[in-house]
Amino acid sequence: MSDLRLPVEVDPWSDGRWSRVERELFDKLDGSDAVAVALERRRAVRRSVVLGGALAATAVAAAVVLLRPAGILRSSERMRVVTTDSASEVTVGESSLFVAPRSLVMVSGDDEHGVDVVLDRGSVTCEVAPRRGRPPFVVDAGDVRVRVVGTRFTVARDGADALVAVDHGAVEVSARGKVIMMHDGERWPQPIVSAGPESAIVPVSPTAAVEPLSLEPLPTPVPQEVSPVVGPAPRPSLATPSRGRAATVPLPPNAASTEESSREKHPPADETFSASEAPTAHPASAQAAYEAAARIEKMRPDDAATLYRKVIAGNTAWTPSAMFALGRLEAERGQRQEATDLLREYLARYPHGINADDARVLLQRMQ
Amino acid sequence: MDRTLPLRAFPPPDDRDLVARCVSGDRSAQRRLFENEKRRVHATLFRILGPNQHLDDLVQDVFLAVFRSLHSFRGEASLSTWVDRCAVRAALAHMRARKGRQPLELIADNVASNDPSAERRALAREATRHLYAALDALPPKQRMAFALSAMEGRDVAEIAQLMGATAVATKARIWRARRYIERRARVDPVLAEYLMAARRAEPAEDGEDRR
Repeated sequence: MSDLRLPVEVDPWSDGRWSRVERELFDKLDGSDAVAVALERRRAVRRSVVLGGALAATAVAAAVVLLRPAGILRSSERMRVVTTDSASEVTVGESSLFVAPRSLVMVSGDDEHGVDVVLDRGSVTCEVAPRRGRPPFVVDAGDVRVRVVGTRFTVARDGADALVAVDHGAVEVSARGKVIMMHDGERWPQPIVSAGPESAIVPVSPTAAVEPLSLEPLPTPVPQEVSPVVGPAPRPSLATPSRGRAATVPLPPNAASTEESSREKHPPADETFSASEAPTAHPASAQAAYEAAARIEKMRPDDAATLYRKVIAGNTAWTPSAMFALGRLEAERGQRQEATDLLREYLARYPHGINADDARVLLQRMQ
Repeated sequence: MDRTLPLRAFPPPDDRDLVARCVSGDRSAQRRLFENEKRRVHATLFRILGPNQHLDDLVQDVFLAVFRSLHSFRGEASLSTWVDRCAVRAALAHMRARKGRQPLELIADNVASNDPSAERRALAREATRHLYAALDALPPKQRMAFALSAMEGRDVAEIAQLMGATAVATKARIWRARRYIERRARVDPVLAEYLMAARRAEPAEDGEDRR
């Protein structure tokens, strides 16, 4: 019998969780019998509440099964929520999900077994009951995983990455092996490159480089392998829907990059871009042109390339991103010489630019 | 001939030193032992039991058992093995306590997504859920032996030592559990795909530390 090996990914615990486990363990060990008894009593109460509640729950369950509204998830279901122009609300156990317009979310599990939310596109705001003692409530958005401690927060997809904003409470965000805790009012902008064999090199738009306040910045991973690339979706705003009203969580303000290259700075969001220079869609700004190019890259690569060239020619703060994006696009289209020239020029002008590592990787691959 | 052994300025304290200090109630030593072993204990419990709302309590139970029984540690096995035994006992007790309860429900719906990586991860988690749902039906000792072998990558002799069983009995438990899982995979395409993927990945993992 050959050995069978079944890999199981272990969910890492945050430092905060470990601290709590350690504190409770040593409280018990401290011989503080009172503490140990209290903890034991708390568990017993929890058990008796569960037992006592079970009878009531049984009675309620029948009613719930019969009267269940469309937005309540049972543990055996996987719910796929697709919204068009209006938002939608889903209830999972004691938690609620507010799915923003034009979003796609898949939800499975329940409070007993843990809740998995996969955000495929758009944005979702989760109001989650405290998880203490219960399996995690997890939102996957591209390469980013948000593990909930008990809070209200928003996750918005941005290509392979995601933006996270915490309204109140705390969540754990893990991306590429790093785990950070986020608290009230904190936001998590995204790093640059999706790591791993399936990941794509996605040019970072200047707004993506904004450093989060009081959050540990993630390291820039060096991709081992680069697969064909998809263009980035335009950076979504973190609009937080709520019952009956739409509250907006503002994006972090644009700020100058901390990169050495002072030439690659973040532009103001509404930086003007000559409309006459924009060929097809006539975007009103360099940012809009860049984002339009990224959006149509797959369907109309020629038009996207033209738009990128216009952004480069505009010589704004979006030029570096557009230059890299065009180099990457040409590499995908097999235009090796063009791609090489663009990426070399990018590296010459912005050797410490946000996409410099990715440009080097692409050049290496082409060689 | 000079037979003097070179002196080390700061000899690393071995298991016995650490144990002696823990037994004497030295909190810093206990915290150090906890720090050294906590992630391994957590990973072992997670792999044996799967995603579980009781893991916090179980990790604490393991270390309480460790600290309360350390006075009987004779150093015949390593301290890690001693801790692992406590983890195995705690996991077995947990499985026995939960026996007869409703196993995890399966999610069989097809997932459609435009994002291959997110979908792959969701499917991987779903496959893991199917695996643990299948394991829920096994007797605790069979499940334990299988989990230590297949998920933890331990050899039969080590598993036998941890479970206080003979190698033959351990092998038989692993074999029966594996046969059950494979039988279950015949009617569970998600589990079947997971097993196939694991077999495909096996040669690439040779020589790697799976723990």
